[in-house]
Amino acid sequence: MSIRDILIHPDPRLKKLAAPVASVDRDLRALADDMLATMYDAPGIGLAAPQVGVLRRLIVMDCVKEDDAAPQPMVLFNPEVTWISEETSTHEEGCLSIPEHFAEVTRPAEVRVQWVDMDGKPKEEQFDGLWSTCVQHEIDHLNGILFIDYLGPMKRQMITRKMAKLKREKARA
Amino acid sequence: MTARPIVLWPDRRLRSAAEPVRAVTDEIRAIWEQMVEVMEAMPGVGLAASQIGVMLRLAVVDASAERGQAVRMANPEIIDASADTKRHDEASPCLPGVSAVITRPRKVAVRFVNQAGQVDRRDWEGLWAVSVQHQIDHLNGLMYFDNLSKVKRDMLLRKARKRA
Repeated sequence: MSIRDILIHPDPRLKKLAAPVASVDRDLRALADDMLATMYDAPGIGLAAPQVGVLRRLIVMDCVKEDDAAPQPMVLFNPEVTWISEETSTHEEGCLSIPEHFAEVTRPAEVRVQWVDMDGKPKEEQFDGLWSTCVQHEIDHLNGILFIDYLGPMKRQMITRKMAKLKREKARA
Repeated sequence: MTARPIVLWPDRRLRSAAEPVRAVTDEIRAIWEQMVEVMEAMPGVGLAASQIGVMLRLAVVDASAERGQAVRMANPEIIDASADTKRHDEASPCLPGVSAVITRPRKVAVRFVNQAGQVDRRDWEGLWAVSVQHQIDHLNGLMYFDNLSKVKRDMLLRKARKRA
């Protein structure tokens, strides 16, 4: 297991559509393990494969925030939203590819998601609360969408400019 | 995705002094708005930018009962403090689950740069005075419990660790 580098916005790979996973093989399982390790290390509560430069439909998440609670890692291949609630909820979101920026995003409060698990078995579950926000945020990544795409152009450009500057500084350091 | 912008102690950002703000721009105003949101979500009566990982000398204070009275400050500085003191039970979202009674000047005069980019001054007492001093401590890399004796401070941190 190793910690992978997380791509920082703006990066063309974060704007691309990711390809479905045909079958869950050893390499993909290793990738999922790396992604979980990378997510916990960051720390974050969710990570999508494009964020580590792999354009495949794979996300990992663990939205248990209490320090004393047992971790609940989830690995979802080819996740797909099959139902959304009419009710919406607004949550302050952040992204490991857009460090230190947070903004409120309104999304369906609950979603049903279908996916394939680590053993290659189909799964379906309904998510609410932070899990629902997170799974939608991560599936967006697979479609080249970032949470800042839901903000106004002013705010999005401001964040993008700051990120570009951060990347320049990092490249120089 | 990342959640909750509150930085948790012992993050080194909470032990570092924040940088002065050079000009009040839209960017600064956006950070203030975010800080007010985080303060209301806690809920709390004040927030320093370093608590959300932004290392700039920015603070917001709203000790009003009715809310919506947040004072947004850049480069706040205490220019006068009363000799008489007030004891108040203080806590921080950066170290959840514990609190301590801290003795501070009862009244303070604070100079800061306001939303319009102008130098402003406020005289505060009561909870407003407690909160603004607590926030300015944050901007200097200090937590409220740094005002305690070593024995009490260690006790508090042990209690917080046990809880975590």
